[in-house]
Amino acid sequence: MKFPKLLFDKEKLIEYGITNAKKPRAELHFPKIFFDHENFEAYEKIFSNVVIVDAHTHIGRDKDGHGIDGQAFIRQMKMAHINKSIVFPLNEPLSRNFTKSNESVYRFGRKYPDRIIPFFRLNPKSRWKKEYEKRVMQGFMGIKLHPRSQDFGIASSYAMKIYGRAEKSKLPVLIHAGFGLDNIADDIKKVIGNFPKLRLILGHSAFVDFEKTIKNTANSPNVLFDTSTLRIFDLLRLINSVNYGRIVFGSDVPYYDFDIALEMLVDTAIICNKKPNEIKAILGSNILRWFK
Amino acid sequence: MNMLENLDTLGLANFKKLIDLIIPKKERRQSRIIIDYIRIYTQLNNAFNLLNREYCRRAMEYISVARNIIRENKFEEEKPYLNRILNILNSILRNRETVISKIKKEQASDPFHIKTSVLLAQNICILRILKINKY
Repeated sequence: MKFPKLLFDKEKLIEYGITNAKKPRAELHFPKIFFDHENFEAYEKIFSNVVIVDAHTHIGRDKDGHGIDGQAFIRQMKMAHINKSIVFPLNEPLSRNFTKSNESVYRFGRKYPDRIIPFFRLNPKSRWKKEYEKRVMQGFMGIKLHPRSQDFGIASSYAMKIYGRAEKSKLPVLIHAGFGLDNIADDIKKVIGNFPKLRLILGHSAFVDFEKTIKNTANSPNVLFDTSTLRIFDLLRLINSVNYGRIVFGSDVPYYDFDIALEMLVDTAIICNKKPNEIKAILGSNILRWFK
Repeated sequence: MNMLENLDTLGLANFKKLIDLIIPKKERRQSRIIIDYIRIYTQLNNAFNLLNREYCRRAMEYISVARNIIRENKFEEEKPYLNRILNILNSILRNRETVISKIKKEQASDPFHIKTSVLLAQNICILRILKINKY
């Protein structure tokens, strides 16, 4: 069986500081894993020949002190059996146009080309065109925008220019649509209306204005919902109300964990009676079809 | 008086025996674990809702209470999960004063990453409740 061992994993137990002993104490008691033994059959089907892609991760160091370096990132990815990750910079201090942090992502992507799908970050309020050209030439696969950190509206004229360019060059845009924002559904509708071919990933599934966003994006196959840092109840709502073909797995590392995010998604999808092939699609193929 | 005596004889000891009879030991243990997770979740939920400029200090108190509940917990089989939550809460409480001053200064910045951490801890509680309930 090739599904993640998670907390059964001795290394994981040591990493979490649960034990330093050679034999983890956890072996003495059974229910030590997040994955449910009752669902083993489903797990076998889900995790056989699956490519797991995490659509929402960061590297670097944020203004607030959160951070992760490339080595730790890859180690944690391997532990959670994540095959590929979309990676972009954090909100780094003194990084108005993200040149330096985009460069780190570029180097990281070059080092692990089979594992990393690099996205570059832009500040729509800065002079971004040169940075845009450079990163597209380097082979970056998408763009990350954060309306709260860079203080712009989702449908502001600043951002609209970037969506226009991204639509033309068929680059997906992942936009933060979580904490710190509200009433975003109409803005998203405006963006989709102006750029119907734009490939848009709604970070955190726009849970801050969920119902209206679902309604506004119902006929937009180019809009995907990522599952990063959702409340488990919001995740249930998402899986029950949005077609599985438009949901993609995301963790928001380093703010969250690969394994807990993965476990939460898989188990919630099973609770919602999703079929193994549908869960497989959420875990990887839904997002991979954009990069073929 | 007679009635009180009767109540005493029928009282706690018999009540416990009755509970032992009705609810098997394993299920009782699971119920207690679930109750602990609900207690932790509730405290974290209170904290989550108070992570704003006005009440952030109180939010930290709720996080502290959640930490105490975890520390008092004696269910060995839940230690991996509880330690994971404990690590999250410790990292918040370690920076308590910095966090409070940041929130007071700029409500829109740091609190949201703390919220993500609290959310992660809450999700672990819910996942455990769902799982234990199934066994």
